[in-house]
Amino acid sequence: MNLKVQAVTFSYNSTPVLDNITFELQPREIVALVGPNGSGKSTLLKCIDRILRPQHGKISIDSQDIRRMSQQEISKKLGYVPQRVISAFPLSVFETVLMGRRPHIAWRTSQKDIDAVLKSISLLELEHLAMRDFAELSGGEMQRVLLARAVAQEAGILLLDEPTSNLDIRHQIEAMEILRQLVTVKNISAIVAVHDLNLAARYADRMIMLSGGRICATGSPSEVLTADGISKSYGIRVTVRNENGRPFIIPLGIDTGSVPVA
Amino acid sequence: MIVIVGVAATLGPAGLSIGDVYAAIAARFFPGHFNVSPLADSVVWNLRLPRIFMGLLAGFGLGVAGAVMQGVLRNPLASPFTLGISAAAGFGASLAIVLGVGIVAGKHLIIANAFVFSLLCTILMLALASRTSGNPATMILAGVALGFLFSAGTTLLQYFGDPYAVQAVVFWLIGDVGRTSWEKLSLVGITLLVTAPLLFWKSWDLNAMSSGDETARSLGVNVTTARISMMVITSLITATIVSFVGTIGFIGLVAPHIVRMAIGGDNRFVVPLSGMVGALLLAGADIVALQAMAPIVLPIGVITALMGVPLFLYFILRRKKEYL
Repeated sequence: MNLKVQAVTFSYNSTPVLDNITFELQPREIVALVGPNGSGKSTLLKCIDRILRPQHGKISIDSQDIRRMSQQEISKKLGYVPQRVISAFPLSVFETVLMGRRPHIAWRTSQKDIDAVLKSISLLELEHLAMRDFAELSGGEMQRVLLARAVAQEAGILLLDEPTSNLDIRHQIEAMEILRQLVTVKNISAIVAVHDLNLAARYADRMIMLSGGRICATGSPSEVLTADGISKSYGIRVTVRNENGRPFIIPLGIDTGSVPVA
Repeated sequence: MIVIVGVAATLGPAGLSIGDVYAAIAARFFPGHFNVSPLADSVVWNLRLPRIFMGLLAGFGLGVAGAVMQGVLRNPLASPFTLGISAAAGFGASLAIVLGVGIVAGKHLIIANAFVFSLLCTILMLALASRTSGNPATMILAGVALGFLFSAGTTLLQYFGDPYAVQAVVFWLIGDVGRTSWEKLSLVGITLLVTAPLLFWKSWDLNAMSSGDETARSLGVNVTTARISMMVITSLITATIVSFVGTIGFIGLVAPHIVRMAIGGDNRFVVPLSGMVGALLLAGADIVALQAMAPIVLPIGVITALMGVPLFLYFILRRKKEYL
């Protein structure tokens, strides 16, 4: 599936958040969305999934404008994995994953739905947790359940909002490995908002750096993560090393000379 | 449920034997085979059965409405009571009883007034909430505030009303499933028949919404429309029931919680089962209300609270730790 974002502009009650964002997502590609807090990463993901409605610009999936699609049609193509979910009432892991079938279910669950849920539960190795209450899980387990739900949704494009933010380093690596595996096995693509630049550099095919609601750099990890670029958007001094063809960032301190744009 | 109907039909102050009651019921289905006194026939068919079915239907409707409201607003305290709908119905009824003014004149004045005011309350609540595009917190706060407003209005009417009218208001507010007839019963039944399946059908969306609006939207639910339409439907159910039986408390709040504590949070099961539990609670409470101090009939609103609160507290104390 091919996703095109053209000149998207969004503001919350006249506070501009996204300004003229344009990019394209190719099939089987992981694009990492990086940038300081408040640079518009989450907002951009929500605009793409039409949770938020951009004031200007156009977003299309396989050259179909999402404004002409119903929320249900969009949900069959785009799977959104939120940072975390706080459910008001208890739901088991199985029920949480089953909710991913909502876009496909008309009236009652078919065997096909149950199969899809069981498959994605076993793909993410959640069998032993299936009947546990979602709210009782650890952060890493919750993240895997939310991923399983997006897999059960059978969407061609996954949008992940900081899937690693609450995880320890092992679970961060695990989450990214799972994502990489999903993209390969399921033949899908993904946009991931990430804070950890090194993690993004290690797992992304391409990166987009946002700063103050604008794209300030885009390209391969080594093209985007330059000492100068990071210094400009984050206001810190860094050294960028090259480790096996991927950039590796070592922070040195606050850059007193520059103020971050956001 | 059949057991409750069977038992409840035999109980009451008219002094009929169990045989009399079943003979009276059977006689309507197989005329000519049973020897039934006109008294037994009249008591069973005009008093007892309508009363039992009203208890079941009202309990069912309040349970379903409570479960859906809690899901839609993502709030375990939401119920027809906490959202002011019952208070508005009470105010409408008081207005009719104390001042004799209302929308339609005649013997249905009180019912019509209660109905109109509870719908008015819902419309006001939704209108206020729509200014924040259907934000659940706004809905709850607006509902609670309107509830206080209507309660204050009722108190004011009682303060200035004449003693007999005030007494009538108090009786109305307490709630009673006995003020019924087949005609009223069929109105409640038709309302439920039309609305409840809609809610059962939408319980998937309710599941998605209980994980947050963003999640629900990403799963293809049009959240604002779904929330407002479900609130309108549940309010319609509540308004219909409350205007016939008065403000019977608590069922709408506890029935869904009891179900969730027993089977978990999947609304595909929670919504219909809350209706079942509500029906059993209310019909059961009515039996107790009739029998506990017979021949005095205790107010059913009091009995639902007296029976429901210990049950509710028991469930809360032995609940799984992550509940709520």
